[in-house]
Amino acid sequence: MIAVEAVSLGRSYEARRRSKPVRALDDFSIQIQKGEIHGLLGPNGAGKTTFIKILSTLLLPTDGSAFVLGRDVTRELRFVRTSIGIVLGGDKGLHSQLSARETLVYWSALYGVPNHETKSRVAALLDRVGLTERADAWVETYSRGMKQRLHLARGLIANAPVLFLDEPTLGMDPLAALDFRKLVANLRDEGRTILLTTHDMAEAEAVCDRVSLIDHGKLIAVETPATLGRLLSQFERVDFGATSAVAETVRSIVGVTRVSPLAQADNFRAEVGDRPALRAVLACLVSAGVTSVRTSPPSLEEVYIHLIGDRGLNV
Amino acid sequence: MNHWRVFRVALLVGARDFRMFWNWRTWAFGWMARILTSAASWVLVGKLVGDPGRLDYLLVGNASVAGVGTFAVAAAAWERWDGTYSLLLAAPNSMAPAMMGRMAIWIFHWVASSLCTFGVLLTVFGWHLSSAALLVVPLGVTLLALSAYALSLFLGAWIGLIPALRNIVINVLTSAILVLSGATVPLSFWPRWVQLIAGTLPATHALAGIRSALAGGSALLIARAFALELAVCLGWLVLALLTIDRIAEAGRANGSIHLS
Repeated sequence: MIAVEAVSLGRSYEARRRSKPVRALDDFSIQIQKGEIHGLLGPNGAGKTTFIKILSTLLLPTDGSAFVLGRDVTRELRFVRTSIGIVLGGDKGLHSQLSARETLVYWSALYGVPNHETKSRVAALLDRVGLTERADAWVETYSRGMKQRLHLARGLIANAPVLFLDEPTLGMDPLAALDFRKLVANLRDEGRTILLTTHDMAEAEAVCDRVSLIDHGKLIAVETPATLGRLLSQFERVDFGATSAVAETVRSIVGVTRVSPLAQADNFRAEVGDRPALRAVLACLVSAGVTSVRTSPPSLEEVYIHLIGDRGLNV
Repeated sequence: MNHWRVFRVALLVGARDFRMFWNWRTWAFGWMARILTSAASWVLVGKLVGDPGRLDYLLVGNASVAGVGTFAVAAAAWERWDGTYSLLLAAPNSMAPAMMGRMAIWIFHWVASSLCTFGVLLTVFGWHLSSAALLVVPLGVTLLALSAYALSLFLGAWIGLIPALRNIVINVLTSAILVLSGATVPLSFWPRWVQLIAGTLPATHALAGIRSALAGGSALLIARAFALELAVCLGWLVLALLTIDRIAEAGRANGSIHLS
């Protein structure tokens, strides 16, 4: 079953009055299955947030249609709004002068959670995100990770089947981010559909079932993280231990797109664009007497750079 | 039913807003000192002119509108600063009760400010109120605060959409109330068309009722003035309730609502 769908979705806006309209989203079509964790990747201004805003009923598209659980996001507002949970990243989106418990009670009322259920649901959510002990402290005293867990609890207050996570681990320390990803993975196990924007490639690879790459408002690719890697299998990478002179020789071979030093001294990584170039690199290394050679598929980050270029990895 | 629930929980947010600004000491010795100084300076101007009637006029006017209009309108922009505005719009419930609750706390603040100002100025300048006036003044001040709240709600809906309007609206509103409602300048001073505009502002009719009561006017005259103030209050309230969600929804079309 399809949980989220966009059909030729478009959104234009004028950056300045009477200026030429900018296409923030252009002929954007996608289907996200129920129970899927779907990652949205793209540089700043790629159109990810525009897409999330349209799905969240905060922005009207200028072309095309979008659906959540089969309902039009521009017409069936009440249904869509009760079916989605929005989880923001960063410090915004919370009343800093309320406690976590008060925050969840506040949003329970706004989402129409029955009065008699509110107390138990709030307690269960606080327990789930590990905030029970600090439940009555003001949010302004929370760490970044605690705020993010509260964001997630807030997004879950209405038990929504579809969740939109906007850079949820932004600014979190690695351990907190790891814990948060476990929480997100548990949500998928409950059958929820999650659409998340992230700039963290490791996060996308760790939690996403599929990843969409977006740039200039257009969808570039939708694949599993593993398939996306295979997409660019011609972009093999070769790690080798050699002198800088050998590395320069490798760099000069036609078809080598990049040679960069690795953390270990006198170790380099060459990225090659096709099979003949790979053969040429290996032959060059062997003739130079290099014995430490390893080839491997590219990471999602490298795939991303190859597809979108070096315009930055920020989402 | 759910609207009332939302109103109550939003009232807590407003109460916490208030606590961020004031505790009882800072309220009494900071806020009230400022309001009293401002009101007293107007009253002293009247005293310097040497006209007791003018002194009374300025005293009543300034005490009645003390502090009105300041923080409630600003509170509308706070949802934007908190990043909760978009979340409120994306929630299935109307935004109106959430805004009403968060802003309602300032009604108490205005009424308390006004009554305290009355008390201090009347004591300092040696005025005595009749027992009837002692009942009428709090009623008039409460009506005035309610209609200022209703207008703030309507203006707040626009500020929520366009936060940059906040300071302009606050300054225009407080100046208009001070100058046009009869607080410092008699209504009769203004041309007819300005008087008509003043009639739609909070304070104008409540102030007329309070002045009538203090001058020993008839109960009918006072009741008529208060009824008009109530009508102004309800008018702004209905307008606010009809437009809060529509104004916010307009942001969906023009793209002015941000996710955070």
